[in-house]
Amino acid sequence: MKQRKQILIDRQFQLRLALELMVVVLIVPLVLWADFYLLGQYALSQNPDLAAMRGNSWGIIGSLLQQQWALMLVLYLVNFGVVYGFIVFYTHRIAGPVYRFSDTLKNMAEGKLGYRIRLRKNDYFENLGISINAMAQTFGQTIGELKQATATLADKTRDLNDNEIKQHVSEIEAILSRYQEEDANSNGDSNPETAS
Amino acid sequence: MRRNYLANQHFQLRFALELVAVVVLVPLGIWVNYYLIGQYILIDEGLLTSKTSDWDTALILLNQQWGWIMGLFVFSVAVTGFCVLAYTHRVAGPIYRLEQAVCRLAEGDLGRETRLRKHDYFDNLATDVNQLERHFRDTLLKLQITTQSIRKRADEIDEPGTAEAAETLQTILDQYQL
Repeated sequence: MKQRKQILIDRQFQLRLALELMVVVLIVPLVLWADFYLLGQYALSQNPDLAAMRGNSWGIIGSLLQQQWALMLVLYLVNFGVVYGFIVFYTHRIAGPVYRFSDTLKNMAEGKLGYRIRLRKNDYFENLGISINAMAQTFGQTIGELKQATATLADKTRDLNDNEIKQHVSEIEAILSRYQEEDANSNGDSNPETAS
Repeated sequence: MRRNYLANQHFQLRFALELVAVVVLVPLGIWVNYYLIGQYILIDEGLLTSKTSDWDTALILLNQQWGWIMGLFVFSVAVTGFCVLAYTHRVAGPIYRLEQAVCRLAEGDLGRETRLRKHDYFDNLATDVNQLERHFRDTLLKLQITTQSIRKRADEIDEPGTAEAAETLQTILDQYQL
């Protein structure tokens, strides 16, 4: 197997994904800091003596933690729950096309060669979708040609008095009958921009 | 329409968990940087006294060490950016390999298994591609064997029309490397 040493394999995709992920990475601490700031303000408004605790062994932050640990924990968990949910939602743009590719490849393996992949506008991996569509088209075309050639062969052998050949032709017809190469495109989201 | 947002539950939950780990680690790294700079200024500069307010402390720290703080921040973001980029390699890498495999199949080159790296994502797609390749290859092999039997039999009973039709089938099958 050829090794992949190059880190930037799909430059456009990787830089875009990395940039979008970096935005999440940079925004989350900002939101957390804002939470703590608001919580601190709230705690100060509720307990003005908190500012005077700077000199004690716990300090202001320690005192804040002591007094508001439950609310801070809830805020922290809510923040990460939201981030986690957002990332799951975000990864749908990756997992969605992959699910569709898998589904189409399984259908093709079952002989349904007429399926074509259509992706949503912002979905990733458009190129793989186009390649799978090209493969489906090539396989479908081959099966079509084979069916046509088999029909010609069946015509030529119809009046032939040879059971062996007739049996072989029937075998070929049976094998090819597994395949449907006509358009079976009922599984896609309609987005002609990415349809091959 | 895809309405289910967990289209690939295993991948999505794993990916999200790993990213959340990055999201948690980056601010920690940045805080550690600030802490170390703060310690440095406390020990070496002796600028901060117990009478200094928190805000004054932060301003003195920024005023005195803005170069270091900026440098460390840029360095942290650059390291994170590189890590995230390297991480995307685990997504882009298998997709690139699968794209190559699918193009190879479309060109008629069957019989080579597609393998991904151990920690790559989308191993299920590689399995699907391999399964499709195996099914199609088996079909073409069966057709090839049967076509050869027809040609042999047609030659034996001297049926040039049948042999010619079988030859056409063989020509189509020969487009593929099995």
